[in-house]
Amino acid sequence: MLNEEKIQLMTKLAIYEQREGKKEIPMSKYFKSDYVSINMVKTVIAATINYFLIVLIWLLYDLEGFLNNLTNINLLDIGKIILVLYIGFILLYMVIAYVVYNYKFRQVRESLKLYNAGLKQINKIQEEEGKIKEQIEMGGNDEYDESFSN
Amino acid sequence: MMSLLVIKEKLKQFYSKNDFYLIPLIKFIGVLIILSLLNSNIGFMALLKNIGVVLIISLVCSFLPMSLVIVIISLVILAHIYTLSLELAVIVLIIFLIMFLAYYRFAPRDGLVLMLMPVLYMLKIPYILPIAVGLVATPVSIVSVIFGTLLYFILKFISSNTVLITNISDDNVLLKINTLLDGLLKSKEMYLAMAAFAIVVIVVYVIRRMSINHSWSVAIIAGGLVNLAVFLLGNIGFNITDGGSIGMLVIGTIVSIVIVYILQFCVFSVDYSRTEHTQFEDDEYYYYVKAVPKIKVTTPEVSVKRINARKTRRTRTEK
Repeated sequence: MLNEEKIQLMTKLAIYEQREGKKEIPMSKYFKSDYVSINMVKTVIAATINYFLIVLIWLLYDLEGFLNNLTNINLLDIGKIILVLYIGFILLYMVIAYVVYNYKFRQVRESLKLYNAGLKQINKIQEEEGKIKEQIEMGGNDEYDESFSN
Repeated sequence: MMSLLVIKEKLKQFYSKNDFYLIPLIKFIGVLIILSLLNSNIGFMALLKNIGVVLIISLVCSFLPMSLVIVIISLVILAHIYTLSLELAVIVLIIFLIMFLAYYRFAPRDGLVLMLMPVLYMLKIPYILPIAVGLVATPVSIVSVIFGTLLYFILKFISSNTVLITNISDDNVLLKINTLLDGLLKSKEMYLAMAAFAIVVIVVYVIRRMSINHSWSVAIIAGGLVNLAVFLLGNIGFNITDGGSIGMLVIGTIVSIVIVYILQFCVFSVDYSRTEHTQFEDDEYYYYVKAVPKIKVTTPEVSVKRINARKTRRTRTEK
């Protein structure tokens, strides 16, 4: 027998799994702090690569001037400037990542809550179905039936 | 107004009935337009200019997810530039990487804005995009609008300096790179466009969020006016003469306002919930479900004021 209520629920959950759920359900494994910190580490790596790409472009842009003045420039100073800018860049990115991923996690938590509630409800319906089925198999819901079937 | 609402309802029904074919079709046409515009502006690679190849790429793209489509278009751009000069292709690749790492990691869907910006620029109506972004997105998407503008100016520089670039001898790698970067960094026109678009996005967003009547329409028109004002003042202030005529700016802005208005009515304000195909199973059955969203046909409330009630009654009885 088809249980319409259950099918409706299952359809809704399946659509969620197909769409947003694909990315969001794996997130349910994480604590908030873990999720945020993992993503911040990823962001720092991306930002580092990004920073050096920007430095590379700047170098290519000004390579001639740089090579011509190589004797006059204190390389240590340039290194210091690059390092300080790098730290500033990374800090900025960490702040952005912290805000973004905290927000994302909170949003996903909400839809995951609904998803889990749906799962529980399906479970409940299934349990009830199971009980009814057992009773049908045993031929009624009389509690003494069990002894008859033996 | 009522007939417009009915049109809206019909559009919605049509969409939810045919979305299975419509989405690939829209993607196909979109990619086709983008590729042909790219070909006419920076079409250096003969192979990619072949109409058959263009059709094949568009066809493949129509079945791929949006993020992959954007990657493919980026690759096409790189291939064209590579044919012209390897050095420039490397620089553009690095710029693409920077854009991706800086922003699209966080908001991959904004990639669409990045790709649309050069296209709309080539069609002379880039003003659509900042207004539309202000209407549907958050101010964070300004980053995307700015990157899109940068991308357009890169392409524009390359297409208008092809001769110059090809005339530089191949040993002079640095000069080629310098020409491009110099042209970009010193382009006042580009800075002006970026600033103007950023301001427009913010203005439209703020007005759209206000709790006033017709906030959307007001936002669109205000966005257009601000756009006009900033570009005019900027052109005078920075003494930009090659930024196209004022007439084009005014016409472009008006056309953009009209298009955004139509978009707002037909796309942004309508909830096109889609038909879903899904499958799952329980202990007893496999289910193959097609879930069709319920369309609430809004019967618009009409209050008919009968000023000349007797007259109408009379005409009716006469009939």
